[in-house]
Amino acid sequence: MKDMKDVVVARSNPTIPAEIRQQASELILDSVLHLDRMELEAWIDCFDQTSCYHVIPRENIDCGYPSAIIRCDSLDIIKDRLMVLDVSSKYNPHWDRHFLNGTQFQSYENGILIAHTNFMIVQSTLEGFSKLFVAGHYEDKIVFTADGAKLRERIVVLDTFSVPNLIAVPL
Amino acid sequence: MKDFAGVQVNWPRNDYSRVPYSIYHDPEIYALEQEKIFRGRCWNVLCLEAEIPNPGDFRVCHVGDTPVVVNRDDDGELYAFVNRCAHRGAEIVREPWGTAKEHTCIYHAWLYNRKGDLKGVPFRRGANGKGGMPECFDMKNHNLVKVRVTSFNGVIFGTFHHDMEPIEDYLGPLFTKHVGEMFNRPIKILGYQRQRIAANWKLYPENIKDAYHGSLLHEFNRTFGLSRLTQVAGGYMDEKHRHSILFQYKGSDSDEEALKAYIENGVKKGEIAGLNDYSMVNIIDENPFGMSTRVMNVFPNCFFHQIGNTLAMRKIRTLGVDGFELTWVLYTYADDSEEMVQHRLNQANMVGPAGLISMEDGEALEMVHRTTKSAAEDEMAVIEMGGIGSIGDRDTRVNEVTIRGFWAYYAQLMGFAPEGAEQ
Repeated sequence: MKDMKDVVVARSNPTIPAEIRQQASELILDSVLHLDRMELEAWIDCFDQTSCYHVIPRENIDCGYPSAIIRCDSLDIIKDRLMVLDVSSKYNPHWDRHFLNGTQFQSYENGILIAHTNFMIVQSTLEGFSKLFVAGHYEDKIVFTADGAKLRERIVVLDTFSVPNLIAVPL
Repeated sequence: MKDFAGVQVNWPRNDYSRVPYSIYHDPEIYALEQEKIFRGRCWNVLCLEAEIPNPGDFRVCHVGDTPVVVNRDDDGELYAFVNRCAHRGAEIVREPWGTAKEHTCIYHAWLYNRKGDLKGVPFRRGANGKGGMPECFDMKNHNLVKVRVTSFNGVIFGTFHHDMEPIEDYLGPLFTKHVGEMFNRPIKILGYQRQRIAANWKLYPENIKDAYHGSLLHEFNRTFGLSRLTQVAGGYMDEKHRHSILFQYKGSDSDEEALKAYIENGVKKGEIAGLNDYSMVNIIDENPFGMSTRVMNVFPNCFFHQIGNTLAMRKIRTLGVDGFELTWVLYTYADDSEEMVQHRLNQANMVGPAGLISMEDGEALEMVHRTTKSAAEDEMAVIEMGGIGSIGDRDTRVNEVTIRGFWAYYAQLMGFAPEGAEQ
């Protein structure tokens, strides 16, 4: 199935400064490494003060439906979700590992970099059995602050929208 | 004809307060369920009319294991047929949804209209005077298997039994009232949430009918008073005990009395300090009966919820004895303000596979399924909360009687209810 929204852009888009691309790549990689290590405070620090984080089933985008699986429209709501996860949610004990491919840099205008990155997450049980959990791609808006590159927006488009069991830890 | 005469279930108590664990794992029982329940005398939910609003719109749905195409014809009427070519059994419609004038099987290009009638067989008369179908082949005898459909306020149900009672009779007065009210005006689809749970499908209606777990498993519920065992609440059924509604009233207990009751009962964990943003747990009054939450099961595969201001139809598709897919179809009313739509989208954080008050269900069901697989024949679930014996409504959430109602109707349909069983 062709994805009409996939705009092919060279990874080494020469109009975007190499330093910007480098900082963004490091941010994207750091963000998923924090999740794999369950460093959720550090993961939140990857976000800007005015950021949002959505996990959206690919079929909803295709059908033009707005609802998400996770919809955090502010940093406060992202923090609330992680707090609830910490003190009240019950889920399958597991380890995650993210696998990313190279980021496609779509554009860099008015200080906002748009970057798309494919991911797979392999989930392993505490008994040592692993399987592919979900696949999809990140659609990130990245800003550059005095503290370095930050996520202004992360839309997680989920190809695996018939989710195996549940999503507790952010993707 | 497959002979199911050998399928037996050992019910040691005729009030279904004991459920043998093997009932979740026996492949013969699963095969019999497909015949007696999903293809049996039931109305199964297919989808919502709002998902296929225009002529030609179709959606592939499932009745148990059976793929069914639901579509709308030029006259606006709804039709459904089994998605299996009458020639060699290939899948005809291969996209999960779309719009089509007709449906053509890719294997040998047999063509069907939206009613499922066979309209074209390429080279039926042969080629160059050779081959082709025999003279006696009549296309009229090779239509697709039709599913009878009915729409109740825009909720589309289907059945393989063309003489089934009208949907209003099947729902009964209580569910005609509540489902009718949830769909009392045009809706707009907000989207889907889906999950695949590695557990037998029956554990899901049990979970939906289990009022007891709602605030013990889901601590978020308890903290914000969305569901608490100390609240004014109830678990009601239709007269055949096949459908259920659990409901409660937020604000009918105080945080202090609830906390005290939970501590006295040894449940101390999970006091959420507070939220940075309380909009998610804010409930805008809209239920005419004053209920803050109501969750229904319409036997066998259909569920409806109003949890605060999130509204959804949920349905299950069986995926073998060890799994099922749960689809949540979230909606809003067509006349809702943009602000209300945003509120419903925000509250959807509480439901679905990542829902703050629903992610735990998938885990609970998988745990039960995993560990009951190795249980001996005489090991059983104990279902006594809310009392044993006669099956009926209760005005409390400390209650599992609705689960016994499920088993009572299920066992009757399956033909293995014990002597003198409660109904």
